[in-house]
Amino acid sequence: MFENLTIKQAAQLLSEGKTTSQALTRYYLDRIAKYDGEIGAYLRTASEYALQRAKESDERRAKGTSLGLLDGIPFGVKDVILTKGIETTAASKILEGFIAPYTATAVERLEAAGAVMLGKLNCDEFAMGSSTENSAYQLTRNPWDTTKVPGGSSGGSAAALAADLAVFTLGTDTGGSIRQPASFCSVTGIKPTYGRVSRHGAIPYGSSLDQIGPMAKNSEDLTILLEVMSGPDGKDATAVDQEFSTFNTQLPMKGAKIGIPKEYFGKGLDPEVDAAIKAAIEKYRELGAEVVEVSLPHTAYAIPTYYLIVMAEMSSNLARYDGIHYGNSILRTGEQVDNLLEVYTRTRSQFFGPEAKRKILLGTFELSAGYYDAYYKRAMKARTLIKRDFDAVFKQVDVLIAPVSPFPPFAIGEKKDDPLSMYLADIYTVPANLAGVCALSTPAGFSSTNLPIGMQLIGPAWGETKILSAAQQFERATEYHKKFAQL
Amino acid sequence: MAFTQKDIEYAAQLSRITLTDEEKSEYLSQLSSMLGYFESLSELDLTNVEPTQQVTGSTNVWREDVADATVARDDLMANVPVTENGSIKVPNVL
Repeated sequence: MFENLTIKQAAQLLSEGKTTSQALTRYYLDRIAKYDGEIGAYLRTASEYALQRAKESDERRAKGTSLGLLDGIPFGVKDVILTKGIETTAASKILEGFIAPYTATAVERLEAAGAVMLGKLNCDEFAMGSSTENSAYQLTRNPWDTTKVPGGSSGGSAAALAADLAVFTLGTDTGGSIRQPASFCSVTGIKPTYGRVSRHGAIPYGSSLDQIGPMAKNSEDLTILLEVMSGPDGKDATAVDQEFSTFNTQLPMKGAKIGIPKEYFGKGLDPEVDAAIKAAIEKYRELGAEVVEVSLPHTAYAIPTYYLIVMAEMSSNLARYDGIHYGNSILRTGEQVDNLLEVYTRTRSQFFGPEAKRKILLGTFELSAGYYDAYYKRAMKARTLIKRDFDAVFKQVDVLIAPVSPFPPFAIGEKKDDPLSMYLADIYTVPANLAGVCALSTPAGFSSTNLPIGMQLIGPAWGETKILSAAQQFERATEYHKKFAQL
Repeated sequence: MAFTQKDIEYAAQLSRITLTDEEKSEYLSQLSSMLGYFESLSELDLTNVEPTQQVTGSTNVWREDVADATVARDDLMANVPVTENGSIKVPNVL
């Protein structure tokens, strides 16, 4: 009864009285206890808290004051998102023991709708990475093949869905961190338009790129979640007031124009991924869409542009971890500390992981006197050109189809020692963050060794209903999102 | 433009991080190859292109300058590594 439930299926069981939120919550907590030792999706569960919230949900339902579709539905939250009273670490040792003093708006809104938080999910440290291997705490394994990575940085959020350890999860996406793990784990995930969801309570990585986004078992669930999560809250100056309607056929396929960006299908794309995306394109033709080749001419510059910008922004964002105000500190260790400077240098040196340090160093260097114009400023200008490419293309077509990752999930340890090769894997996802447009990943097939391959749908800014509608119609015509990992 | 040992030491000093010799040499080669790859941006003609700082187009998002106590002082102080009489305690600055 409980296997691989979507939000609507779970909500139906609850409203028909076939189960309770407490039973559902216990189902997931039991599964986490049974399977998560091997998968490693959760950093910590909040069982008492979850069961209490589930109890409150059941009581509301008994009184006839149920809050709606999400009331009583269990979910997990990526550990870069603050949850009051619960340890929040960003998967870094520098926030070990940090108890969040407030809850992120996105989570608050889901909880106000009655959803039941199960716990915090593993990720790359400070959301930096594409495999979750940069977590300072534990490895997360891909439930489809436990020798493979789940993707990153929201690897725990994706793996939890693939292993059926939650009905939905929250991730963040700065350069692909929702879409790529969704693709690697055969689940759905959306990076909203920049400014759609408040970043209040999301530990910042690249402030001009970050978005919190929902991850779930199908696009319909993403639509339900996005409606609850989106909109300004008065606490994020970059959140924009734009209506989000959940009518589900916002983009009928007959008459729709789908663009295939030619730069995304060249050298470096694994033939099996290429075949899966091409088959998906054919499916859209069958559904009645007109498919056209388009060009995003500055695609080759997206990786350098993205990394120069994100490293600069994160080096500034991570300056707050100083061992003084909160988080881990050399002052907690009992060691002799002679002066204030030592508090900073010894705390940061001891408790940041290598990827954090590398990026801080390069980000700091490129912002320093004499280098700012050559690197950061150039990258900001290149960003303008990349954004213009998307503005132009969306005058010609409604949505774009593209791969998410150049290859299916890779082996744990395979890319860890070659950071640059890991960065190059982000080629298809970073452009949407640079342009600020919306993009999602939905299952589109499997490799010859049964590894998931996701398809990316990219839409114009504020065009979430277009890509969600296109994804839903694809899901109705295919069975990929109904295939589940066997644990 | 080569990224040298001096550059990495300068960046480390600015960002308040101390590196071991092993970290210096490992990061030096990784960061050099990254910067080398990023040099491709010099191929672009960026004359008269305005930099994009953020994509929403919003400017000057204001609110009333009124203090609100939505985060409890005790919750904030509970995370401070060293306190004394309700204050944050730090070693000598000078």
